[in-house]
Amino acid sequence: MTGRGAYWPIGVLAAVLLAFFLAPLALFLGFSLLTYVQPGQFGPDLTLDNFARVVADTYTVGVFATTLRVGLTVTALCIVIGYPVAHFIAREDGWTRSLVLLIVTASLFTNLIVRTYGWIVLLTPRGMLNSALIQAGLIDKPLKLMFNETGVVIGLTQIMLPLFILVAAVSISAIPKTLQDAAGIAGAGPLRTFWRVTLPLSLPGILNGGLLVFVLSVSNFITPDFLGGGRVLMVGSMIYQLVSRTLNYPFAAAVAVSMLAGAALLALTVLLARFALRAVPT
Amino acid sequence: MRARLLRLAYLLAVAVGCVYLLAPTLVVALASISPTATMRFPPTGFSMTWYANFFSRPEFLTSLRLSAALAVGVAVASTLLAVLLAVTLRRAPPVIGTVTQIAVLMPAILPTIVLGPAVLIFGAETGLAGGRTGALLLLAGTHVALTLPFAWQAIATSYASLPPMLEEAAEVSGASRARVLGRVVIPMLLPGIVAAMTFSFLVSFDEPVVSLFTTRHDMITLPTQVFTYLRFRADPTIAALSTMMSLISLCLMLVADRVVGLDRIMGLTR
Repeated sequence: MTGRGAYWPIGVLAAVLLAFFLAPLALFLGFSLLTYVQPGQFGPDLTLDNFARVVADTYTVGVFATTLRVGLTVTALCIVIGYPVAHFIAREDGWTRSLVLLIVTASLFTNLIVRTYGWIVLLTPRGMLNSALIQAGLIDKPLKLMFNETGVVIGLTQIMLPLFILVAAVSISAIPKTLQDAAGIAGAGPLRTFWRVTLPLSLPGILNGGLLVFVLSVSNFITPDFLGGGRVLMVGSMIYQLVSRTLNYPFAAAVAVSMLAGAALLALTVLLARFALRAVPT
Repeated sequence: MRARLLRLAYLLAVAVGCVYLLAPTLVVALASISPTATMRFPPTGFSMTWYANFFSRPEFLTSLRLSAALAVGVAVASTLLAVLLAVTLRRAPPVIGTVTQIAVLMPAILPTIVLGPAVLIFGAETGLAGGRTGALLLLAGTHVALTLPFAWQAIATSYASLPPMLEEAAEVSGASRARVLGRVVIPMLLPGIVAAMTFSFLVSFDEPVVSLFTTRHDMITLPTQVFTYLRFRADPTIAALSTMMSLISLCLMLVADRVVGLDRIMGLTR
């Protein structure tokens, strides 16, 4: 009754992904092997020079180091701030829980530039936060909260937080409640139940969410651009400048490939860690 | 006593997380009704100047129309494709199902800072970005790829709760595939379809990176317009727009919650 022709929607999907995702991606990443002649003009000779420059150029290495530092800080902060909220969504009932879930999803679907703008208003030297703190008599001079790494971390963490919370909440909600009840019956207090049962079982979710947050924060360039004010250079901003200002596509592609390779390596490590976690009897 | 304190600390941590999430949106809402260009705390008065300024600027209105039309088109295409895929995959061998699902989710994992330049170069090399129609098609196609993971998530969870017997019964009674789709599947999937459209619309409407790379003087989406405006000025006109956009997001989320439940869409087991 259903022949091979019935699978045509998969063909449509393949065509869409090929034309608007895979082909552009392959083309751009392939540019990393071309020779840069002058802005917008590239030689056909295949070379690995662009990759050599990524590793050897101290400026580029510095950008990668900043990116790694910011990415790891943001990921750690997302885990610490997000976990309790995720647990609340996964385990509580009633209207407060619905409200928290609504806040999290509405934040996830609030425009990135809009949220970055909110942090500009809050964090500028004469902004809301500083003027409130000064008026309260807590500080004399405005704190330097923007145009530095602190500002980028504060903004990026908030922007990545909803995503982490949702991934972690899904993982926590999948843990059977009976396991926690059993720990309670066996005499474990709430803290012990959390450390010995809930937390270990939700580790895969934390790793998944953390990985997603890390990859998306190291590649973000809009937030670092506005909150870093050009002083915090991250890989995303570097690719943007190479493509739209200096028109050096080959080097931009080499930086992109290096970033993706780094992220893939990290993903592999996380997968292995998850595998190892599963092997350890708890 | 100790358990009480623990519970209190836990609730406090949740509250702090929520305040942190809400802070920029609330501050922007305050800034949007402030009469002064630089934000002071506490606010010094109330004014709708910035809202009026937004609607008096033709470049914002043109971009708003473009972004809205693009997002609606993308949402319809993405949701339709997700429905067709869900129906197809139920009858396909599991291997095809797994591979297809991975393919659908791929664009959600790739950073847009890589996809943006890729689409720009692809458009230039193929000549597709030479005219406005081609450039628009390229942007819309990329947005379909980017929104499909979200549409799929909403459709797949709705469809999974639909018993296969319903489709089989309609087929046994002699209905054609198209008729089964139109008379049984789509009506029963309606809540999932509303959710899928909502999410795809918002993802496309808010997408700032690919549209920044593919921008042309006659094709500037709203996020790109905001991005450029903020580079030169930081007056609360953007705050007025931001507040309106946040309210739209909030309303659409409430609708999605009502018709399907945010729990189910997000995959939370209750």
